[in-house]
Amino acid sequence: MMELLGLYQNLFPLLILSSILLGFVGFHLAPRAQGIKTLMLTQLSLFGVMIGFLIRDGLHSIGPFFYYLIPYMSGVLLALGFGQLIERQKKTRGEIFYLIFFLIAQAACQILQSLFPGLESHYSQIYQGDIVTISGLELGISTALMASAAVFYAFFHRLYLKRSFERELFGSESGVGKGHDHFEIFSVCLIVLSLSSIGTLYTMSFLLIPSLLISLQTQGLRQSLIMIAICTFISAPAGFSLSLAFDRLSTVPAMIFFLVFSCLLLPYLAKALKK
Amino acid sequence: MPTNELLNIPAFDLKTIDGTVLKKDLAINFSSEQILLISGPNGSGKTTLIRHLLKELSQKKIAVEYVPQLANIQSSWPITIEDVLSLSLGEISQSEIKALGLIHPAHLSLLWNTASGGERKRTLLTRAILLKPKVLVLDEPFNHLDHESTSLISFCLGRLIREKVLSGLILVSHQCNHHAEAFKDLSVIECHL
Repeated sequence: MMELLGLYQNLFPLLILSSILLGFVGFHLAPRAQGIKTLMLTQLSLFGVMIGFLIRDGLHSIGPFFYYLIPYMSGVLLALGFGQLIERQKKTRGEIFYLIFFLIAQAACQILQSLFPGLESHYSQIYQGDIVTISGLELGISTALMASAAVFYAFFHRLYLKRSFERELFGSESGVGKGHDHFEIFSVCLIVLSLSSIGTLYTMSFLLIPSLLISLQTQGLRQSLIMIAICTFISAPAGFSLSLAFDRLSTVPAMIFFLVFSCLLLPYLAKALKK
Repeated sequence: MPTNELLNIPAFDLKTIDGTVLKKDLAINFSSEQILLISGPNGSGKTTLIRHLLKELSQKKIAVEYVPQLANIQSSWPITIEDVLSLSLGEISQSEIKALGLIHPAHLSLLWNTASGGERKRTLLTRAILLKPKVLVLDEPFNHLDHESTSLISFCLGRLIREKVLSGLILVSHQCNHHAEAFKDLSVIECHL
């Protein structure tokens, strides 16, 4: 077990950074009413990443850095471009349209797989996640990008909180809290980075579960954010370690179950200790 | 008497985004130490006029705080009254909150979702005032409030104009009788749509 942990120790910074960041970004989705939209953007990103794999496989003699970045860039560009296109058409905004586009993107992913059978293994790897097979260079690039995303988020954390609250309370049409807000661009970049390096199931779970479960049990913004940071910080490495200890346990589901468990238990324990 | 001109908009047609004319030849002349009271039935264009005025004020680079009507009463966050204030103000000064008199410092730990409608409106108003604007724009601040809360808010607003903490106040309200007493010695311009 310790030998295995030693072998995979380089994965921990990426897991910790991504889980905390996803937890914090997920905290903004409900007040911004972006839950369903994020689901659509994630599926569009997945389609974009698959296109990126196709482009990458068709290109010869590219440097290793670009080799890993092409699917990432393709996912970000497709999700943001298409997302903006939908947003500009007032008639196609709204949750039901986001769901329709989510389904279309999912169908498009399947058509792509049937047309190019070589993509199937990429798709299942990105969907279910297989972080243990990540190469050293890919891990280095992903960790560096995730660390940059963490610094960026730390800088704009307060602004994002303020805007999220104002948008929920006054509505996006009121003009309050509208201003320049790059939250959606940031969240798409983070989601694509996380799904292309760790997997879609992991990304969506760490995005949605902590904020939902913790908000139900905490009182106050500070307490919620501290709890999200603690639960996400321990869950990804703990779930990963568990999957190493029990070799029949899948990595990402172990992390998700550990996350649910800690999000339910830790706020409850904190409340009990306070009493 | 009014001193500095805040807005001087010559006669214009108030239109919706799709070009429907809501009011013809509307002229607004609004100076400091004045209250612009906008009233009218539902759909008459009160919020459209407010947006027009906000645009004019921002073009003149006048510091404005706008408190619109609440789109959602509940928040999906377990946020407290103190959080609502500190999100916009950073460090909050208990003495300033006390001096303003709209919310009691002991209520700062109250959860937003369990606070009453009056407490929520007073919190948003406190937040807007402590951001120190020159002009405060309030869209239906007295809706669904009891007489006590309406009176507390209107007397506080009147005092802020008298003490020149605020240069001007733009108010959308149906309940003119509720604040007549609080604004009786102030210059109130009525704009009925």
